[in-house]
Formats: sequence, C-alpha cells, structure tokens
Amino acid sequence: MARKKLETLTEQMFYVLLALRTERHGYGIMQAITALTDGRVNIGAGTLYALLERFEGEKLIALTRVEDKRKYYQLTPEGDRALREEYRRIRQQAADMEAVLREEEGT
Amino acid sequence: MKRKWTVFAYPVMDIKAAEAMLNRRAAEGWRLEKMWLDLLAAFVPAEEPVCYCLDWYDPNREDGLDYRTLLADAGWRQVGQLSYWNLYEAPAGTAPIQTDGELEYRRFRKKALRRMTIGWGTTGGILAVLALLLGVAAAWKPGALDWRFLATFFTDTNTGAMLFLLLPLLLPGGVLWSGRLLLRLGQWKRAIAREESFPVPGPGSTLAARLCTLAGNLLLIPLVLAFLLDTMAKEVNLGWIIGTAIGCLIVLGRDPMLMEYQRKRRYAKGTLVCVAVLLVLRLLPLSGVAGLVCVRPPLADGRLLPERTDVERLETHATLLSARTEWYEVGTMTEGGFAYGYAESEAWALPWDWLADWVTEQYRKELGTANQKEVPGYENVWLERYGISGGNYPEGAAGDVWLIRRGSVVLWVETNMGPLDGQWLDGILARLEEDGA
Repeated sequence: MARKKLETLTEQMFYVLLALRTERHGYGIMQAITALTDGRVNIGAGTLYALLERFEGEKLIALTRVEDKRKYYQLTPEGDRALREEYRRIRQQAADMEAVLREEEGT
Repeated sequence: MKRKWTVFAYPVMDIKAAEAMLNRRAAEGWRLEKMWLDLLAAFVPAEEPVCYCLDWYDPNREDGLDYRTLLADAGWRQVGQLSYWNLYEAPAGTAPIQTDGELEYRRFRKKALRRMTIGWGTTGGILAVLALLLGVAAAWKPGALDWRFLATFFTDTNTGAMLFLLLPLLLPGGVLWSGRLLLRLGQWKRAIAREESFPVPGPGSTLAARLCTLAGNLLLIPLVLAFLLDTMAKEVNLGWIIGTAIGCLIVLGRDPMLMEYQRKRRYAKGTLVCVAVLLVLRLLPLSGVAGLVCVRPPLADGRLLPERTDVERLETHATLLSARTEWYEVGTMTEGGFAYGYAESEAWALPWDWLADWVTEQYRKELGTANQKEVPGYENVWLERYGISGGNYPEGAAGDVWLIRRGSVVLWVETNMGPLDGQWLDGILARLEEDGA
C-alpha cells in the first residue's frame, strides 16, 4: 500500500527500489523481483507504473534513458537513503523480535 | 466455430463484477472474441488458458505508450474497450495489472472519476445556464415562455416527446446509478483501509445492476427511432448535420499514425456513418412516411374562418404522441370591403386526457373569470366576445375568442372578425368529429 510521503515502504515499494539499485526498465523490474523473491512477491504492471511515476516525482529514482519505447530507471542517492532507512527499520524489527523470542526461551 | 454470447451490460462502477465474469468464462475454457455494441460479449473456446483484467482509462486521453508497452511486456494484450474500461487478456497465471488497492483507487480517480465529474459538471452547467437564460427571458418578457413552451415538447419533435415520456424512467435511473457509484466508493475505501482487494459485488446485486443497465441501453432505441423520425419529418436542422459531418472529416484528416487520435478517429468514423444516414433521411422526401406513423394534425385540411379569409400561414407539427396545427388567416371584414381582419388559431391533438385537461385549463385562464361558463347548448365550448368599434370596423363588429374541447383535441380561435355564429361553430364541431376527435 502506498503511504503518505513514504514514511514506511510497503513490500512492493521496497522491492521496486531494491531492484533499481541496478538500472532497469519496467518489465525488467518485475522479472528481477519475481526472481529475487522466488515468485513470492508479484507486482502488477499497472501498480508498478504508478509506483515508478510516484518515485520519480519524489526523486527516489531517475529516468536514465528511453530505448525501444521502454523507460529505464535507477535509484538516486535519495532513493538509496530511503531504501537503507527501510532496511534499518526492518532489521531493527527483526532484532526486537529475536530479543523477545530469546527472552521467552530463557524464562 | 462454437460461440457463446453473454449480455455484458455492467454499470461502470461494477468493474470487478465484469472482470470476475470474464475470468469465470476463462476458467470454463472460453476466450473473449469480441464485444458487440458494447453490450454483448462473444466467447470462443480458448486454445490456451487465459485470464482477464479490466483497467480504468480516461476516454479523452490514451494511456501513454510506455504504460501500454509495460502491460504488453507483462503479457497483457488489449482485447476490448468500453467506456472507462480497457479489457486486457493474458496467459492464465499472469500477475494482475493492479496489485495495490490504493493505487488502483487512485487510478480510478485520475482516469474515470475526474472525467465523469467534468462530464456531469459540464452537462449540469449547460442546463443551469439554459435555466438561467429561460428565467431571464421569462422575467424580461412575461408570457414569452408560457405553458405552450412545455406543451410543444409533446407536439413538435419526437425526440422531445420521447425524452419527456422517458423522464420518469431516466431520473430514477440516474439516482440509482449515482447511489451505486457512492456505494462502491465507500466499499473501495473500506477495502483500502483494511488492505484488502476491492470486493466483487454479490450475484443478486450484480444481476439487478445488469438488468437496469440493459434497460437503460434499451431506452436508447426509442430515442434513436424518434430522432430518425424527426429527421425524416425535416425537424432536424440541415446545417447541424452538415456541420457535424465537416467536424468528423476534420478529425479524420489528422495524422492517422498518431496514437492519440486513434480513438477520436474511430468515434469520428462512427459519427460520420450516422450523419450520412441522417443526411439521406433528411434529403429524401420521406416526411410522408413519418406522417404515416405520427398523429394527424387536427383540422389541417384548410381554413377555420368563413370563406372571405385566406390562410396566410398554416403550420403543422406532429409526433408519435401528439400533433399541433397553427393558423394565421386574414381577410376583409365584410364582403367586398376594404378593412382587413385576422384570426389566429391553434389546435392540439394530445395523447392523454389529463394533458388535454391541463391545456384546456390554461386556455380558460386566458378567457378570464367572466367567461368560464360553457356556451349554452354546447358542452366544452367557451366563448369570450367583446365589441369593437371605430376605425374601419363595420357596425356590430366583435372580437371572438373560442375555446373548444372535443376528446383530447383542444382548439383555440382568436379573431377580430366576429361575431362568428352558431353555423360556424357547428361546422367546426362537425369537422372535429370527422377528424375523430
């Protein structure tokens, strides 16, 4: 789900930004996400298009070239910061969960 | 080839119900072959399993080439287009086009809701301006927009008569449509809040909506027939037809390779065919054919006043529901005299007694309170008579205003060539009887 001003990223948003650490066009992003998640995360073409428009508007990604009617994008430094911030948040969540589990196991 | 037809009459907000139906057919092994008149879907056996997605689009603006390329790369092939919907087909198992409820809702708002609002807003604005103009005209020149303006809706054009007739169905239809749209908007927003996909309406609700949509589409048939009759009866302006044809040719003359113009070109081609049909109907001498199915204008076979008058103008209007005749007669006040008088008359053949009652009532108001009694010996005949003297008027000249009602025919005669006698009245009543009034 798209959040206001991207305070947190949805799973689909996260994977789109992750896939764009390498320059890719739309369908390339979809293929990369499917391969990376082993088919667990599927993003619709229409949804991806809307996300790319939004990320580009918020300067998280940049259009690098247009070839064969396909637009290629890549993560910007700002996008990289947003992605790393989300990564840090997810890791923190995982760490918190692990701490709770350890505590439960210890008692 | 084996073919299966399905009525595809879904209101625009039931996009998920339409999509679910296509996917049900796909699961049964059928593939959408074509849409017919945006109302019937033809299915043929699918060689490979397929699935369908319906995607919102703006009818006034093509989706960008990059959007279409991305959908094509993902496996989605456009197989049809209805108002606000693009129909896509892909091999079964392809990820849906929209996988995020909120983004799908935003697309609906951006592509469809805004266009609908502009469309309805424009229509409402035009109607408001027209109402304002009519109000100003009524205030500026009282009497210019009297009850006749409403009554002529039934008598002057078939399209107007049909619209008036269908209004009791069209208005509740519009209310139901708007209510259903609001219901869907609420459901979609709730689904987004719960991070769920948009709900598919239940079978009962879908069936009711489809039947209403189908009925709404069927209402177009009498309206189109009425418009064709008006064209045949020369009520449709020739300049309008030719202007529309020129507009279509201008659109068709644009660069055919430009994607942005393709839909407009398709509409222009369709409109041009329709306009060509209208032009042929307008130019051929078919008003007699239209006359065969329309109500016969009452007493239209000649003058109403004594033989010393000439008909200066005789106008008739007829529709499937009713008809109207208007006369303006002039003649000498006396046999061989030099002074001229006039008579203005109007006769209505109306479809229902209540409407004839209403028209009679309006005329009676014009007669004034002193003339509300029927002429002795004659039922439903009223007369206002006043003396005229001076100028070139002969001795005993009178102004006569006659109101005669026979069945659903109402006749109004206003003249300064009175007094018209009982013989004249009997003659008119006999003619009305011959006319079947």
